[in-house]
Parts: sequence; C-alpha cells; structure tokens
Amino acid sequence: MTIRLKATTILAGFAPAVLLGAMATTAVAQDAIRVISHRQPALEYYTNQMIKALPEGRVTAELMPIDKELELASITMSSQSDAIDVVYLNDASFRRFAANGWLEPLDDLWEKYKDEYDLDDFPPSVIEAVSYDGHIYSMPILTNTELFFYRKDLLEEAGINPPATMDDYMAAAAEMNSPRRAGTIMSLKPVDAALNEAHWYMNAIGDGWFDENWRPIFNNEAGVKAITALKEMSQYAPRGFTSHANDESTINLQQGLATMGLQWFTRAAAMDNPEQSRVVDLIDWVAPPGGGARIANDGYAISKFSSADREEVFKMLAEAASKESMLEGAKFSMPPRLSILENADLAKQYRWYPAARKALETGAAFPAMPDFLDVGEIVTRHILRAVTGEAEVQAALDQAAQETEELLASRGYYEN
Amino acid sequence: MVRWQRGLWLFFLPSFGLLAVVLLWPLGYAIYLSFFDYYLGSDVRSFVGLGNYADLLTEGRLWNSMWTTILIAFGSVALEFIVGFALALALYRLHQSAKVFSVLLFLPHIVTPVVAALFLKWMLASNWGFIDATLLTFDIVPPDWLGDPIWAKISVILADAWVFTPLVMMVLYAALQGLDTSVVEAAQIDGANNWRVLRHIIVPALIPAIIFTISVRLMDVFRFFDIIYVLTGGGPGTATETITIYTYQLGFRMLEVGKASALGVITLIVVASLLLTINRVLNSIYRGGDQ
Amino acid sequence: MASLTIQHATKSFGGLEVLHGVDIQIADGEFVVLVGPSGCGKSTLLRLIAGLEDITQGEILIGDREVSHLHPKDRDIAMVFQSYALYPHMTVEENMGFSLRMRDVNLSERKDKVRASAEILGLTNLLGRYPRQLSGGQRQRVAMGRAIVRDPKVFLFDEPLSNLDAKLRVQMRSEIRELHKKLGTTIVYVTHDQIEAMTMADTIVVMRDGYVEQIGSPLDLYDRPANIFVGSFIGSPAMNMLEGRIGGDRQSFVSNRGTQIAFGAPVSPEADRKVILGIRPEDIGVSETGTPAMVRQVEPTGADLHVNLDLDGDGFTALFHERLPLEEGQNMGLKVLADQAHFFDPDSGKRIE
Repeated sequence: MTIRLKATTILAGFAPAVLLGAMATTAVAQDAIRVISHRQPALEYYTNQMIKALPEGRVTAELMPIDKELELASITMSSQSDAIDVVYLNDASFRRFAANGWLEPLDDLWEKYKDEYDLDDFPPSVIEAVSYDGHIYSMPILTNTELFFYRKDLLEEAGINPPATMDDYMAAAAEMNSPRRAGTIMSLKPVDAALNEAHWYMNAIGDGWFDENWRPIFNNEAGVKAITALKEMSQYAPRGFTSHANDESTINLQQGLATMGLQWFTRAAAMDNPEQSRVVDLIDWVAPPGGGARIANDGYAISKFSSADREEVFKMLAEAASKESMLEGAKFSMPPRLSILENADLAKQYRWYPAARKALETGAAFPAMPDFLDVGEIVTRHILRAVTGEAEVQAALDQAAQETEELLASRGYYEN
Repeated sequence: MVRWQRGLWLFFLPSFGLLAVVLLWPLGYAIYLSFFDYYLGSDVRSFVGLGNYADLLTEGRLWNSMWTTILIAFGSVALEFIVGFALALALYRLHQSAKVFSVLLFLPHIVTPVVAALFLKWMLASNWGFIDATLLTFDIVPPDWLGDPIWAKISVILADAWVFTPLVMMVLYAALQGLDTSVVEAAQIDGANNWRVLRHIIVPALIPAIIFTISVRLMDVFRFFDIIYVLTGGGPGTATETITIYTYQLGFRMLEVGKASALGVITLIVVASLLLTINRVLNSIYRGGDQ
Repeated sequence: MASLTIQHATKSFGGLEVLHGVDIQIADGEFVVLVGPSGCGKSTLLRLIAGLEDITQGEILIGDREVSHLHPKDRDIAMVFQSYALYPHMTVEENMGFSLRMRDVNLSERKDKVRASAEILGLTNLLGRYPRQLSGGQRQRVAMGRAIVRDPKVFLFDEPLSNLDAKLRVQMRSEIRELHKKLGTTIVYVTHDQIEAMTMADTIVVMRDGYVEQIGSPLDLYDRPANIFVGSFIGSPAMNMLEGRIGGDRQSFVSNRGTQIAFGAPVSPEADRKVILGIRPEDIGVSETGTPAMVRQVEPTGADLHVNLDLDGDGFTALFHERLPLEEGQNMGLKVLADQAHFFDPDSGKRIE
C-alpha cells in the first residue's frame, strides 16, 4: 500500500495555515508603542507621562530591574526584532547600544520640534551625554547622582557627625552596626548595583578604572586598597548584601534595617513616603564622603528596528520630557532642564537638593566607553569573590584586569 | 519482519522532521558557531578555528565553573539518592492507609522548577525570608543562606534535592514493587538482619533501577540551570556558577555567541563521557556474572 | 532435630480470623504434611511456624523452646519456598553458604559445609553456576541444599514441587523422601496435592477454612475419613457421596431418588437413619444382580478404567483395574461391600462409626 499524496489534499492543508499566518501578522502589526524601562520611582512617573501623552491604549510600558531590561533589549535588538520600540538607557549602556547601531538617530526630529518643546533648555553637557559620534540618539529624562543617606536621629543620639571622609564612614558604620540594624547598606548585586558601589570606592580611595589608553589600572595599589576597604565595610552590611540592588537597599533604609549608605537621588523621596517608609523625616543627606560617586544621565531612545511611526514616538518622548512634566518630576529626580535646575523654590521644597547639588560637583560618571558594562560583568564578579573571601583581593583584581584587557583587545580598543 | 514498501519511509518524515528542526539543526548550528569569534553586538563573525576552545580550556573561570558543577552535581545526586532510597524503603514497608503520604511527598516535583525555586528563594531570603524571620524571633542570628559562598552552594544543593528526591523515590519504589518477597524472607530466615537484607538482597536486585536513576539525575544536574539562576544567579561572585550559568553569561550577557557555543559543545562532551563511564563502572561491579 | 508443638494457634489479619485455634503435635523426626484446598490456612500456618507472620494467639514450641514471637533467624528452622527464592546474583555455592556467612562462619568452614551438603544433593559440579543458568529441578535442589547446610531443627517446605512438571515432580518426591530418611530431621510440608501428601507423609493434617479437619497417617485418612470433607478430599478419583437413609433391614441403603444398594451384611448405623453414603470408586464391584446403573462415559487410562455412571439421576464414578467391555449407554450392575461403605451424618458431616 503506497501513499499517494493528492495535490488537492495538500492544498486543503495549506489554505487554513496561510490564513492563520495572515491573521497573526496583521494582529502584530497594528499594535501599541512598546516601552521598556528600568524600574524606580522617577521612571514610574515618566513612563506614566508617556502613556498619558498619547490616546489611550497607544502606549504600553514594562518596567523591570535594569539588568533584566538591558538583557531583554540586547537580545531583541541583536536579532533585529521590532518587538521593542523605546528603551531606557543610562550613560553606561547608551554608548554600547549606539555603537552597535541599534538606535535611531534623532537629529532631524530634534531640529523640527526644538521650539515646540523648548529643547534648547537642555544644557550642552546633557546633550553631549545623549549623543554618540556626533548624533543625538536619546531624549534626556533625568540626571541622577548618588547621595549619602543617613539616619540623622541615630547619629545625633550617638554623637557622630555626618561622615566627610571614607574613614569617617567606616568608623560610623562600625559604631552603628548591630544584629538587628546593619551599620550600612551595601548594594553588591552584579552588574549595575555592584558597579555603582565599587565605582565610588575606586574613585574615592583608588585611582579610577582606566588610564588614557584604556588599560585597566584598578588592580594597582590604590585599587587594592579601595576593594579591601569595601571588603571591610561589608561586615557592617545587612545579610544578603551580595544580592542587594537599589530596590533592596532602599527597603533596608525605609524599614530601619540599616543606618546609612550610598543610594540614588531618585530614591530620596521614597524615604518620606508614609505608605512605605518607617523613617519619615528621619533621614538626611550629604554628598558622598570622599567624592567620586557616580553621576548618571539617563534617557529614552528609539530602537532602530522599531516599526512604529518615529515622529509619533518622538513626540511622545518630548511630551514626557516637557517643562511641565519635569517640574513635577523634580520630586523624583533632577530634571536636566536649566530652567528647572535654577529654580530656588525646589531647594526649599525638597530636603535633599542641597546635598545633590554638592554631589554633582564632586561626583564622577562612568568611563566613557561603550563596553563598560561588559567590563562590569567581569569586574563585579571578581570583586564579589574578593569581598566574600573566595579569593584574595589582589589576586581577584589581577584576574579581573587580565580578563578586561582580553575583552577590550577583542573589541579593538588597543589597535592604533 | 515488515515487508519494505516504497511509501513507508514517508512515515518517518514527521518525527524525523521535528527532531531535525528542534534538535539536529540547532546542534549543528551551535557547533558551526563555536568555530567563530562572534560578538552579537557588532554582528561581526570571524573564523578562529579552535580558538574559542583553546581560550576556554586555559581559562581560570571555566575550570572554576567545572569544579563548582561537579561539586554541586555529586552533592545533589548523592543527597537525593540516599534520601530517595530511604523514603522508597519506608513507603515499601508502610501499610496501605499511610500510603497517601506518597502523594504529598511527590508534590515538590510536580511544581515547575522555576516556581519551586522562587518559593525557596522566599524561604531563604535574608532578613525577611521565612526561615530568617523565624530564627530572628528566637534571637538566633542565621547565616547568609544565599550570600555566603559556602552556604550558597549548600542552598543550591538542597534546592535541587528538594525538587528531585520525589522522582528518585518513585522510581526506586516502583522497582521495589517488583521485588520477590520470598527472596527477602529466605534471607531473613537465613539470619540476615534488616541492614544485611538491604545490602545483600535489595540493592543488588535494584541495580538496574539504581543505575538508571543515578545516570539520569547526574546527566540532568550537570545541565542544571533554572534553580541556580533564580536562587543565586551564579553568585555570590562565582560561588555557584556552574558551566551552564557561565554559558548563559557568555551568550546572553556578554553576547559572545561563538564562545558560548564552544562551551556548550564542551558541556555536551563532558556529560556524554560521564554517562558512559558511570554506566560501565556500575554495570561491571554488579553484573559480574552476566555473560 | 526436634519435636514441634503448635498450641491453639490463632491468626487474624486485621479483623479477619484465618486460623482458629489450631492444635498439632509433631514428634521428633516426623514427616508431616499440611494439606487442604486453597485458602485453608496451611501456608499461613507454615509461615507462623517460620516466624514470617506474627502469631495472634497461641504458642509454638520447637523442642522445649517457645519460639512463638522470635525472629525467624532465631528459631533454628530452614524453609524451602515454592518459587525457590534463590539469590539471583549469587552463585550456587554463595547461595548455600549465605546463612553461614550471616553467622560469621569463616570462609574455609563455610566451603566445607557447603560441599558436604552439595554432595548429598548431587550439586557438586554446579557450585559455580548462577540460578538463572539452572533448570527448575536443579534450582529446587539448591533451595534444599541451602536449607540443609543450616542443619536446622525443623525443615519447612512451602509447596516446593508446584512449579515442576509432572515427571520431575514424581522424581523429586522420592528424592525428598530419601533426604528425610538420610537426615532424619523433622519436616513440615505444605501442599494442595493429596497424592503428594499420601505418598510422602508419616502424618497428614487436613485443613479447611482455618480448621484442622483430621490428623492421621495416610492410610488412616484413607480408610477412616473423619468427615465428608476429608472423605472427598483424600483419594482420587474422589469418593462418591449419596444422600439417603439406611434400609429397614439395616443391610441396605435407599437413596433419596430411590436407588437401592444392598450390602449383603449389616452396617453400623441404625435402620431408617438418614445418612450420606460414601463409596470410593475403586471399591465398586460388578455384579449382575447388583444395583442397576447406566454407563455414561468410559475413560481408559491404560492401567485403569474410569467409568462415569448414571444412578437414577445421580452421578457416580467407578474405577476398575481390568479392561471391562463397557460401552456408553450400556446398563450394568454394581456391588458394594458392607465394610467398604462409609457413612456420614447429613447434618454434622461427621463419620458415623
């Protein structure tokens, strides 16, 4: 018995398959603008503004921790899929995405809508931070700086002044440390959080990450000193600090489980939120002791592979970044608009502004290279090995430096 | 014997087609990619022959992950085997009415591994996790279950055992059902106490099931991913970074697809040779009399 | 070697009582067979003796020692199972030596004892083989060898020949008898086959539904069955049973269907008493003046002649040792002698003396 496939049978099978395929593709094409973003109070506010900027249902926003968000964006854009339209990027990740050619240049739209949305209000340094190779790729949404948070009531009680140097910080943390309340928060979850924390130590105690030729210097004597300090400080950190990112550290402060530590400006308002915080009005801020803590410029960029109407998307972003929107958003983050930054009332209204102004002066951004996050992957793992005692600090940093050089070499940094 | 007819090969096509698409093609592509230096960000491929393999095999991080994998794998399988066997024996001796317990014992396995891992993460989270909170109310300061390098390894081993012990238990229990009780009784009359009956009668009779269980579990646990990923993400540092987690880092975080593919191929070879060795060793010890 | 006393042994599984106060006294060196239909409790009783089941009430004594609640290994017994229960991954020598190994007997002593037992059973050149390489009969011998090596006080056999073919069974029966003669150990042997019981036993214990129906020597049970059950169980083909009453002259029997059977001499039950008459097929003679019966079927076996008869509607079996020229449908006359007739009380089933 042989099987004869009739032509008619084949066609009969094909037709419904084709129909289904057609239906599926049309279903995908018409849809909403999809925004993905890191999740923190300021960005919750701004993505909401984006949703409100366009008619209902035109915009969907998904917020998730930054490492996940970047991973999702990387995988989607590397396969050139149109599944994502708008992506949140900070200065570290922004360069990598632009260098990969994954972002849509915005120069023409920027010119076109300059007057309508007063885009000249953004200072040149901010425009610089969202440009790559001479083109603007991202709509600036916030400037963020790390601040030093501390429980003013507890420090006052113990007769300690807010720390001005790293040694002061170490002493204070040691003094305030107890089983129920850690001396300090510490956010060492790879990659983003750990990199932030290490960046501060590396600048305040060490000599920074790279020399002018992009050769790693973080394993020199000063760098080892910095990480050794980090390791010592970790004994005053809450249990589980190796997996704490900004969310967990914020909660630790809010719940009174830690006394002080480094966190973002954007988390300051949360300390006084009566619905979440037990320490309303008990937290105060100074610029991070020793200086060198991270400054970030974040924005939203349009994917080069997006199938949405780029003008519509740009207008949505411009709306969210408008003067009115940012005036309100000043509560959550520092708006990159000159007109608002110079507004004196804000300093009075929000208690953390003075510290933030100072931090802006003493802070330092990440090294301006597209591959810093990939370097971060390597470096943070090794720093954690050193901090948890799996390896000696010098050995771990040496290995990190070696792997970093290999990586950068393969990405073409040392070819002249 | 089936008489071969012309059209019969068409029956192979659906299954073979599916296998080819889902298994053979990705495998082939992975092997192909492993010979390239391919960074997904720049989408540039350059042929490096065995360069990726050479890099990996001389890298400290790879051997570290290999060692961690072996430690977790053998720790896990040993634990699940001993506990699973003990439970199977216990079930075997229980009366009918108590056998409803077997359903409850099987629950951890029915739940999706990721869900089980999330549940365990909530139990083990520091300070506000279930275990920590309970211990703290008694003023006992617990260790950092997921953040201390040694405890993280233990937590991962326990997590895997929790999910898979029921499986081992079930397989061995089923094998025990097939045991000839009169052989056990003969041994009892001959003077063997419980321990000796176990050693001389039950274990030899169960060897095929034991080999099966150990082989399957070892093979699986070498490719262990979901539970570790959810619980510790390979951390802290590289304390729980197994080969699979490292492969994930290479492929999805650092976007070094060529190197990740090479590591995948290395993993395949390691697991396959491990399996063959175990099979051969266990068979020769216990099937000595077989022709 | 020792005597075995079972006193009022009772066994219940949960709420169900399966052995009801069994009393058996077995002398030292006796070969006792427990026989009965499936479910009569013989295997349960054997397992109680072995210690594989817990006795609910009553006592078991081996020699003078009470062993009722001892672990099997402390009772000094050995058991041969129906399925042989050989250790599949051990050689014949290791199988036989296992019990000695469990008692930490050293290797050379073990080897000697095993060899000695192997010789008795003709297993010497099989010592290096594995059970799966042996035939059924050889496996059974190994099982016996394993029991012998222990030199126990009592041997227990649980239907050991059921898995063998007919010819092998006959051979093994005589081998077991030989073994008993040689070793002289007390044996308790369970079977459902009454021929095995009859040919092997010194004493037979007939059991039914957890009760002992009769204990006696084989010929005792054959000649004077204590009740209807024993009467129809022992002897093959089974005893014929007819309901009726003794004739007025006390020398005959009238069945309920009116068939008259004359004995030619007085019988023990009174006249007109309601009885059940039991006649063994081999005790039936042919007589022209005897009770008329019609031949339904004739089954020649070569050595004997089985004849199924119709006695006014009652079925009847006869066994002749000569080749009578009988045909189906033919009428013939039957003769029964008075001292070959068995009488049972219809209500109690008991034998009427």
